Formats: sequence, C-alpha cells, structure tokens
Amino acid sequence: MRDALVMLEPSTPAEAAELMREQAAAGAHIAFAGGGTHTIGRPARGDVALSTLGLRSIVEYAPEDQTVTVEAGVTVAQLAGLLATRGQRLVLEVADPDRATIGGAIAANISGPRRMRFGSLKDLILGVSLVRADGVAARAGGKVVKNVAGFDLSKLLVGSHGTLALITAATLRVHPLPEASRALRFSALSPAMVWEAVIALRARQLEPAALVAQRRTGGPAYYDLDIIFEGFRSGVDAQSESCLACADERGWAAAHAASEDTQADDARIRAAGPLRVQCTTLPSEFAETDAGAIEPFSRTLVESSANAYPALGIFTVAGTPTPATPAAFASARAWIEGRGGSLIVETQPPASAGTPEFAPWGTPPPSFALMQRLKSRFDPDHRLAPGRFVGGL
Amino acid sequence: MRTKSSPGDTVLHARFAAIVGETGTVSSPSELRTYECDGLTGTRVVPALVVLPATTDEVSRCVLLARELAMPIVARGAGTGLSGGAVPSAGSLVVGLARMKAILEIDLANERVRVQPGVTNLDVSKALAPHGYYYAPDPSSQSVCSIGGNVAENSGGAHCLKYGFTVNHAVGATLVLADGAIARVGSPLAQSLGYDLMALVVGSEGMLGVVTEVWLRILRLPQKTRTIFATFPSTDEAGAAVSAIIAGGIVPAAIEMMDRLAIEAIVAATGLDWPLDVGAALLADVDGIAAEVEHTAEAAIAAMRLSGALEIRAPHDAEERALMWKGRKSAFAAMGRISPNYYVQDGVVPRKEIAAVLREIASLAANAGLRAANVFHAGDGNLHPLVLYDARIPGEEARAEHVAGEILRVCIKYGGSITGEHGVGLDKAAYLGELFSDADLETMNFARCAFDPERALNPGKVFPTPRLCGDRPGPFVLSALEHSDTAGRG
Repeated sequence: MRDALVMLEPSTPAEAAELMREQAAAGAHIAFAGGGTHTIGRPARGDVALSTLGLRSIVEYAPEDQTVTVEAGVTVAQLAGLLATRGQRLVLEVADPDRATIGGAIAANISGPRRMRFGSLKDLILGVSLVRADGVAARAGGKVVKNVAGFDLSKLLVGSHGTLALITAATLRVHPLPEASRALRFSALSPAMVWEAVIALRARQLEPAALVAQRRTGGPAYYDLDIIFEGFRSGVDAQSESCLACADERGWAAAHAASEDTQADDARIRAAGPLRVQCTTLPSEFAETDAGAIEPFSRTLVESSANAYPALGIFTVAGTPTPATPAAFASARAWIEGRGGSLIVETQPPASAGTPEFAPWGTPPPSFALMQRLKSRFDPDHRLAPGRFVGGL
Repeated sequence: MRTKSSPGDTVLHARFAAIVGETGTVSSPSELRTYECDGLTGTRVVPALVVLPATTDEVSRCVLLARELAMPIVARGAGTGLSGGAVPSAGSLVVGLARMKAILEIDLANERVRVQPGVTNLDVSKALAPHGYYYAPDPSSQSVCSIGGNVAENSGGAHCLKYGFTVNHAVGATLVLADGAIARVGSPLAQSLGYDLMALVVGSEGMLGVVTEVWLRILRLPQKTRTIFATFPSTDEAGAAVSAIIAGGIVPAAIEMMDRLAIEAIVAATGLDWPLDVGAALLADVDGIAAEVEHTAEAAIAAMRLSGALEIRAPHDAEERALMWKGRKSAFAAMGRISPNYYVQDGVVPRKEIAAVLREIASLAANAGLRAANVFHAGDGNLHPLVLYDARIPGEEARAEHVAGEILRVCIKYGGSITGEHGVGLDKAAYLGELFSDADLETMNFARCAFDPERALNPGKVFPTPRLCGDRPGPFVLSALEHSDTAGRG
C-alpha cells in the first residue's frame, strides 16, 4: 500500500459526512484511523486517511440509566475519567487508554479478560451513529439499554475494522465501579492445572471478573494464574476465601497478591516484540492448544511473552521472529484452524507486513460469501479500506 | 412458475409432502387456520401451506421449492410472538419448526449448548438444571416460546437486566438462506473471524434466514437468589426505589413493577395474597455470591424503605417464590380477569423518565375513556402498558389501538424505543419510520438485501414501506463456501 496522500480530520459528525460525500464523489479509497493502537491488516489501496481524533464530544451521559453516548474520537482514558466521577466505568480493557479511542475499540472489537464476566463491546454497545461509504449519515440501535427496533447495525460494526462504515458516535452501557476488588496469583500451574482451576471455580459457583494466565517458559511451560474478584466487599472476601480453600485442597502453590490492573500485563505482552498474535480455541482445549500451537510457535521467537484468558480460550503471544518463525506460525495456524479456531496477527515487523508470511487473518470462515455480499451492499465500490479485513474484504 | 398459491392446493401439497412427508404438511383449510396469526391476534392471513420439516436439509429443500413456486416464506416457532412477526403473507409457505426441538449437544466444559430452534426456552434450562446450569433469557412465555423465535425477536425477559438478551447468549447458528443455501454464522468459540453475522441474525425477525440450529451460552446457577416483594403508595415511589437501588451500584437480576390494576388482575388469577389497596408493587431478584447477595438484598430493601415502601415481604420458601414469579409472568393472561380485551404495548424509555411516562400513559388512556394497566421491566425502562377495552362496545377497540400507538410516540419523545423485546413485526412497522429516518432504514435494508435480495423471507414485516434491493447486489458468489463448511465442530 502506498501511504495515504491526504489526511482528513473532521471535528463534527456532520463535517465527517460532508468529507465522506466529497471523497465518494472523487472515488477515493479511505482508511479510517483512531488512536492507531490496534490497526490490523493493510488496505490494498488508500488515497485518504480519515482520523476520528477530532470527534471528541461526550454527547450524553445518563448515569441513572447507566448509558453514555460519545463521539468516536473520545479516548478510553477520557471516558473513564468522566464515568469515575459518578462511580461508574466502561468495562473495556485496552493497552493504551490515553491513545485508544472508543470508535477504534469498537471497530477493532478490543476486549480484555473481564469479558468473561461483562461481555465484549458487542454486549455493551446499544446504538451507533455512522457515515456510509456514500457519505450518508445514519444510525441504528438507540440510547436505551433494551431495544429491538430495527436491525441493530451497531453490533455488526463491532469488529468490522473500518470496512463497512465510519463510526462517528456510539451509545454504550456502563457498569458501577466495584466497591472492592482483589487479585490472587497462583504460580507455576501446568496448562492442565490452569484448566482444572477454571472448572474448580465454577464448581464452587464463584464469579471471578477475570482470569489471566501468564505463560512462563524455560523448561516445561507453566502459568501464573491471576484470579480477579470484584464487587461488594462481602462478596469479594467470601470469594477470595473460597478460592484459597480450593487452592489448599488442590495443592496449588501459595497465593500472592497480584494486581487487578490487567493493562500492565497487556503492556508487557505488547513490549515483548514486533510480532504479536492472538489465538482463539475452545476453552476446554487449553492444554492441547498450549502444547499443539503456543509452545512450538513461541519457541521460535526471541524473548517471547504470552498470556491467556483461560475461561475464554484466548491466547496472546508476542516476540521477535527468527527465520524458523514463519514455518512455525503456519503450523500453529493450521493446527488451530483445524480445531475450528482462529489465529490473528495483531502486529508484525514492517518488513513482513503486506507479505503472505504472517497474513493477518487466516482462512475465511464458512459464512464468508455472506460477508462479501454484506460488504458489497454497504460499500459497493469497495472504497473503505479495501483488502484490510479477512479474505480481502 | 406459478403466480399465487392458495390454501387447499393438492398439487402443491404433494410436492412439499415429497420433501417432508405427509405428516410434515398441513394443508386442510381448517388446520391451516391454526397458523393464520401469532400472539397478535388482530391480523389473520391463512397461508397456502404449512410444512413441518424435521432437518436442516428438509428446510433447505422446502425453501428452494417455495422459491421455484414464487411463494413467500414465513418461519414460525411457537407462534407466541406479540408483534405479528409470524403472521403469514398471502400465498406463503409457513415453515413451522415445532418438530425440530432436540437439544443436540450439552457442552458443559465450554458452557455451550447446541439446540434445534423448536425447543422451548424453558426446556433448555430444565435440561441444564441437573448440571447446575441454566439459560438466562427468560421471556414470560418461556414455557411455550421457542429458541428459534427468541433468536428472531432477540427476546428478553425479566432477568435480562443483569444477564442480557438473546443477542448476548445466542453465539452461533445454522440457517437456511433465501436461496436454500445452508450457512453457518458465529460459533461456540469466544470469537469468530469476520463480520459478526450472528449479531445481525439475532433480532432480524425471520427476514435473513430460517434458523435451524443455535449455539447458546449457558450460565452456572448462582450461589444464592433472594426475592423481594415490596408495595408502594404509587408508581412514583416505586420508580424512585428502582432508581435508588441502581444508584447504589446494585444490579438486581430482575426488578419488575406492577401497578394497582395489574396487581388486581394477578391476584384474581393466582390467588396470591398481595394487598389490593396499594398503588404499585416491585418484585425483585438479587442473585450471585451468597455473602454479596445478603449485602445487596439488605441494601435494596433499605433503598425501598427510604423511597416510601409500605410493606416488604420475602417469600417463605422456594414454592412461594415460584408462585410470586408465576404471578408476574402470567400478568398478561391475568388481564382477562379484569377486562375482556387488552392491547399490550412494549415501549422503552430511559429509566429516569419512567414516572413521567407512566403519567402520560394514564392520561392518554383516561382521555380515551379507557384504563391502562402497567406491568413491566422497571430496571431497564421497558414498559408494558396494557390498554384495556371491551371489543363488544363499538369503537372501543379502535380507541385502544389509537392509545397504544400514542404510547409509542410518547416513548419516542422521551428518547426511548418502540419495542424492547416484542419486535416490530407487522404491529409496529408503521412506527419504525417515526423512530428512524429514511437513511437509517435504508442502511438497515442493506443487511437484508445482502442476505435476501429478492425479499422472499417474511416480506412486509419490520420496514414501514416496501424497500427494494436496487440493482447493485455486488458479487453474488454462491455458495460453495456455504456448503463446504469444514470449520464447524460437532
């Protein structure tokens, strides 16, 4: 891809629509950009970049209704600051909240380990304002927490990576900030023991907000498992005690206090190297995925770092690739896809970007023909980041 | 190609019977009348034929044949929908999914189940109960409504305040597209590649495909649930209590409000000993970690008292708790005890506007010489005003329908929605154009055109005016990928 020739930065949704109409008339190919923290895939052609950073109004915050409507360029940190003044939060974990924007998080479908309790952005988004490829502004969903009027395009735009429409604003469901939180770390668990821990917590009907398993290497793979409880103090205390009793029964290594801040762990992975991949398989295949894909792949990386959200079946691995990495990558992807899962390349060294070496998305899913038809309806001339998304969407 | 298929056509019957068997077709005029409407009983259209396929493949072949015969296709679950989403089109083939009611797979390790669309919502939870799990969305009709219908309507229920709606729980599906192709969208995994087609299919009211299998997320039963019943002088105090509970950072599993008329009807129908001399009542569940529930239940009770509760009760045992919830869930049916007919509405308003909107509803009804009862999901602002009328009195039905429509306009005025969980269907299509602009509706129609460019599936629903799909459908690459599904598991 050649670099975009023009950078547009509208300061209102109306101006964004105006610019989109002009670009439609000119037949220009457009790539949208937020904070640039999570851009996956490269468009085949990009004449114009449109930044949402100028769209930074809080449109409406209704704490009583636990909803907030913000423009796309509002950063995650800016929104968190506002919500905290009323004892609330958007449960969205990103690595760089000062740069990551709400619109970008929606487009890239960013989620963290708290997703096991609160859902992903698809579960939190209530409505959207968008600008279509032809420059027409439209909206879908609404600003109330419960609504089935019309097709809810807001959820379709979650994870659409800027290939269907420009997101200019969104309404999101927010949650109360917890009164208390506590993170317990159990060290040196084998992959099989990590999965046993997930089952043991369920057996006790515990409701952790998040589980993060940090992968350690050097010898056989093992994990440090952070179990994070949140809520009212009485519940957090009771869950922590139950969890510790469970650990005693099972002979897990003694617990240490850990951080409830999952962003630090995310940042650690991001700093590990220029290649970062995310794999998803069925949660029950945790140990198999570790042995069949994560271990052989990460062994080829220099200074690799990896973690997993074991209740969700999601692994992230990062590091610096070596000459052995492309073949190991291909094997890992084949192994994971063979089990119905997926492997996405989130970042890669500039030298390999755009080459097939570490193709970002892998094999298109079974309903890919429908996705092509959808893309063609929303963007008939394929001008919105063409080729960025899975299968060249 | 035929122009119009009509009921009782024996040639038509024979061609579909060749796919689904004699017992899988319904074609006698008297039996077809069973399918002429759903829970919205005011609009009735007898379909040309009803098929009751037993497999995805049979659904696909029926859809293909219907297309060859230029018949519109209307999928139907249990027929309990309240917005007319399953009302047949003239000359249509109704694809009834009642025979496809198996629970195909219970995957406890991954907290997923794979079911056929005809299984009832409650049967899923019943099958999971021995394992300590349940399926969270719980429409009041859950003992009869089907999962396929829940997917079509994105059904909610009392407990979706904390746990979300069908769209938050139905994670993957097999569906038969308008051209008979079999597509798989979403998956049992936490994430799938590409556009989230499953999120689009849920709530699409049968217009994108006929769903023949669904992957559902299931939840572990909570350690503890406490149920609280409280009465108030009026809906104002009850509404203030709801706001105070939420402001305290508590997310109850459910918090339902009933006004005086609704309480009267429920008591008459169930024999519950709820007081009749109160203005409103709340029925709430708080659930979760046992120690936390003790705290949140006490905090909720304190908030109720501070807001002016008259009396607060807890059920003595599981049986009484079940009876209380049965009372709430049978409220619509109970209206028969106090009014020969009623018109149920399904508007949503921001929670903080509930009291003002209830006053507007009361005055709209009073001005029309009618009564309105209210029983609704107060936690999420989803109102269910029941406009009571007597169809034997000339003009009353029309007045009730007018009031019901005006109620939707009030919801729009307060920044809400015309439907929280019942769907748009036939009933509210006219109002969708008041909530959304032409551009909004045109954009939603893009999705429909991508799936069904000839608009053969459930035509005439949702969209207020017929919308064409234009002449730019883009590359129409069918359907090797759809058929050669290799990625699905089990």
